[in-house]
Amino acid sequence: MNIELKEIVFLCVAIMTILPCFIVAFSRNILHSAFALFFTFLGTAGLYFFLDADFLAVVQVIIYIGGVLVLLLFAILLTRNIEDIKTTNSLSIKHSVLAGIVSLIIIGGLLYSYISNRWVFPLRENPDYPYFTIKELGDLLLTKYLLPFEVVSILLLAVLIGSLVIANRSVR
Amino acid sequence: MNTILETIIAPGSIDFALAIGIILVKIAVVIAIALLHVAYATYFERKVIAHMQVRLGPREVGPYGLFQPFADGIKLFFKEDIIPAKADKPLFYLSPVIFFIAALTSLAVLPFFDGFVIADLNIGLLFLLAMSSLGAYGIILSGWSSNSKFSFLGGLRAASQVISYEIAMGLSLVGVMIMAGSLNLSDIVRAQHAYPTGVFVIPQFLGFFVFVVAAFAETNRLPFDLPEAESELVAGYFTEYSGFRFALFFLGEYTGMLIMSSLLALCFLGGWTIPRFITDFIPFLSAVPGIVWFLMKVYAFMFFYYWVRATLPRYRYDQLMAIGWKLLIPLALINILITGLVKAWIKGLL
Repeated sequence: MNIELKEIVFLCVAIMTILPCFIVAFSRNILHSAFALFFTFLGTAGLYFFLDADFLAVVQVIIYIGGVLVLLLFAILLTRNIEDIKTTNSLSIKHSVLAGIVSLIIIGGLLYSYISNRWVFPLRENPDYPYFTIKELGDLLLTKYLLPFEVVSILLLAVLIGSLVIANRSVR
Repeated sequence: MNTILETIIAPGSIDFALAIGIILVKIAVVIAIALLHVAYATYFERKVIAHMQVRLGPREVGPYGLFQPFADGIKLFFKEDIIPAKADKPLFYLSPVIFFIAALTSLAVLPFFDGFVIADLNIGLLFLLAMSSLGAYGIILSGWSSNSKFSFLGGLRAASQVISYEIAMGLSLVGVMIMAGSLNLSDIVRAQHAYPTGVFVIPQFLGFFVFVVAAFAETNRLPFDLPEAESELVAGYFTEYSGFRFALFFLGEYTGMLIMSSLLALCFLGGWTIPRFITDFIPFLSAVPGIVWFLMKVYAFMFFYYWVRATLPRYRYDQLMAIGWKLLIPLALINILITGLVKAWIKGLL
């Protein structure tokens, strides 16, 4: 087997994605768990780069790291009932069985879609794959997939208005 | 291990190894020059503010105090590294590093002059926005892990401020993206050179205004420096840091200012080019290397940072949030709407 630089970088990214997951699952400190997700998300963005989905990779960083995870940290830091943050993350057998079943279903689904589709990896070797994904994505979103795009934007608008209503009620 | 050496030494891949070597040298050069600029940005700031306040500023170390940044650096390097007893050690160690790395990584996509950029990403602008959101983690975690009320309040303030103004900043750049038709920073500069006015400030003045205000808030500078407001929070999120960890926060903040100034120069002021009507008028100016123009624009905005710091008082926290959400975001949205309509009209789609 010929190990090239690309494979070494890939291994580093994969390790960076997987190792923090153990901290997420087993750390007693919920803040450490939340923060370990940071590296997992960053590694996932790296994996997207390896799959030639450059736009998706950067959007992953902007949305998951810049938005979702910051909100998660805020929620933890501003929660009033957490007295000692260092021992907040309890482990229970019931939850871990449930989580195991869910993750098995997800792995099965991913494997099934991989086997049934026969995609050419890396995508660059597929002649139909565009060199710059962002331009094609923009075209597709405003032509072929316009309806789903608009439906999602209406959903986001509804969420925005709903959150404003809830926030306004709590002030009174 | 043999296979790795073979691939590097094998005749077919010498170009490959050379390419990696060139990239590494480029990275080293850019980081070294950027850090030197950051060091002298602190000197520049102290001198400018001193003269605005009718003082002289640093003048003891070397001629005109020119070696002051090195003296500061050596002092910070040899200071004792104090860690609070009840601090969360791993996060306390990690957060200044994250803050600094996020700032340095952004340097990778900045084209300093035509053709000189470490990574010519076609989504460079999005990459910069992503990296600026990474910096917020250093701030939140340093605030929490120091186990001090000042740090915690500073960290929360900084994080909510950075997140709010990131939206306004991203939206203010959409107008530039629409006009240039690209997210690659080099392409944006070339599009400006091809444009009649030579710079995007003139059609994009609304976006420019929003970007400038958001840039102040993103880098936690006055008049939006609430996270480190001295009179109420000691030093905010890095109150408990000392020695070299403090220096990392300090360097990260000034690198952030350098990046914001570069982004402004690239997206609104034409980067390394000057408008064509000027070179038509005074032809010999086109012989000046592009990096000179780029650095002049960057330093003009750095000077503006210091000017504002010496002039304006600090905003109240609710005012800061009101400006971000109720003024800047609507303005940026109006700017996008107008730019989009004009672009559609020019292309004959309306």
